[in-house]
Amino acid sequence: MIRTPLARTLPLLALAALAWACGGTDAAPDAAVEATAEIAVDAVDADGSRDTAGAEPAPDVPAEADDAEVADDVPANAEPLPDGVSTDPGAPDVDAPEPQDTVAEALPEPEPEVAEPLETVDGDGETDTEAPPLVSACVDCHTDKALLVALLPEEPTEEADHGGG
Amino acid sequence: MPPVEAWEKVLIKLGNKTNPGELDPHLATLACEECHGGDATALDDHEAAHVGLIDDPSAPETNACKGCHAAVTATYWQSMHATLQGEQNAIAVRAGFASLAECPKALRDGFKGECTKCHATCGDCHVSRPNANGKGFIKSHVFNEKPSQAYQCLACHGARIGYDYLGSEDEGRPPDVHFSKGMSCLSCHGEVQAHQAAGDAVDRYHVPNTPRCEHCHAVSTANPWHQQHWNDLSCHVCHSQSAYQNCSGCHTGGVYTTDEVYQAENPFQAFRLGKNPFPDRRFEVVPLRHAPTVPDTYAPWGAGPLAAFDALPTWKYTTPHNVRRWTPRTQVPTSAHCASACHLGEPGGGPQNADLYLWRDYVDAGWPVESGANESVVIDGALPASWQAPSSPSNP
Repeated sequence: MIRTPLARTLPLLALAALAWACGGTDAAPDAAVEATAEIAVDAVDADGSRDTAGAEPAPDVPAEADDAEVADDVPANAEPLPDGVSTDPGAPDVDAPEPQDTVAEALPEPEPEVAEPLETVDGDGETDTEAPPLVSACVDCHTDKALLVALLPEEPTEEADHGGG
Repeated sequence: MPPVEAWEKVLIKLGNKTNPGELDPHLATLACEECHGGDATALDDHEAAHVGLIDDPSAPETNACKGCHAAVTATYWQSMHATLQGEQNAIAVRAGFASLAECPKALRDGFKGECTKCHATCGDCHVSRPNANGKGFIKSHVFNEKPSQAYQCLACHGARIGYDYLGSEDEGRPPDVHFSKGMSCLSCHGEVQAHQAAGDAVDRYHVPNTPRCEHCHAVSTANPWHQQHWNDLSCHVCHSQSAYQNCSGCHTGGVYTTDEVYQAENPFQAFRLGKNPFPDRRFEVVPLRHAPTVPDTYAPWGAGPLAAFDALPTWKYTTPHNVRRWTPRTQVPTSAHCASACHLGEPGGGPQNADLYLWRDYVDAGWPVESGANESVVIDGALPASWQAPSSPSNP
């Protein structure tokens, strides 16, 4: 059973208060500190996750907007088709799965692409997988905002054109 | 989409990094000039350094990505994104030829000069805003595996698709339900579809691996409407919102954007329901959108009238990206019959919903030059007699 921090704290505080009452004036703060430290440690479960058993309950999370929207959209006056169909016409598609990225998943894997940095040899005869410094002079200018602003004139701020679809 | 200043388009923002190579492995292994050309030795001469500059190394002329990504580039340059094969086919068929290559030079040159500017290069989707959209880094010079929906997908597909998919609170247009649920373009249109060769597909609907609703939504045995109409109406017939961005919503000779009366009478231009032009799809009735193409559309290219203009409809198959569960066709007024939103008449009632369909008279009145082209898709005679044909369909 997971003990709450409060349940663990009370007996320890009681012990500390008793020790203080018996004349050990230095014992009280030490016991309180130890108790607090123990709580801090014990509050983390063995699996490393935070023990929130004694925490404040989570605030109410509003229902997903989609669900609310669907509920609001359901027509109250839905009627069945005239051809003898009697099933509730407003019923949602219970058979339809939630939209997922299943299309992409179902399709064949594309050709593998080179995504990892290419190994380079820097001349010392050893394979070097770290990013070598760029030797290009282009970088000096193309990382210098002030220079580029000065070099390149302003363009008309028109909305970009669109394609066909 | 807000434009980007010229300097911002080429600025590599290092942030807390000290070297571009720390931003992206490409920049760690390739010097700038290896892809972009220019003269890297011209250290103090801006103009000389940019002689021979290759603005977009991933363009087909240089195809710089091929060196490491041979497989994907091999198929990509045959994809619909790269070839605009659907557009090529439409031009050729209407001109009376089997392919664009056989078309007169004026059409070929016009296509190459105007249409192909929208070719999507690798960089258009993985590095910068598309060339056709003014360019500009998305995230410094980082190569993004997944394109940015806002600045790359919708940079080209924002006029209609994005307009519908994202919706507009100001205009009272709810977004597509898939967007509401957090799905992006890539949720349905994945990397396989984007990179694969289009084969002999004549339009984008016939490219392999094109997403279909039923890939995620199986036929429902509990929904009587689905059971009734699964094989005769496309999903979009019922689940597309009426507020739909048609080409004609903007491309109407400027009238739409200047004439408030016209706007009021033609809200979003919408779509019309007509006969399915694709025999390989099971539906009988589908939404159709009007593409403002006329016989002399390519006259500005120096081309003559399209000899076979009637070979393809100008009211085209469409799959509006404004899907909702509840639309004017799936909701009916209180105490009204369930078919009252779609059928032409209800028991004891008069003709209604005529404006939902594409009638021959409607096309003849609004676009007489396109009457022959749309004869195969007008709904006349295709609806069950029990639905009651309207006596006088509305005019545009």
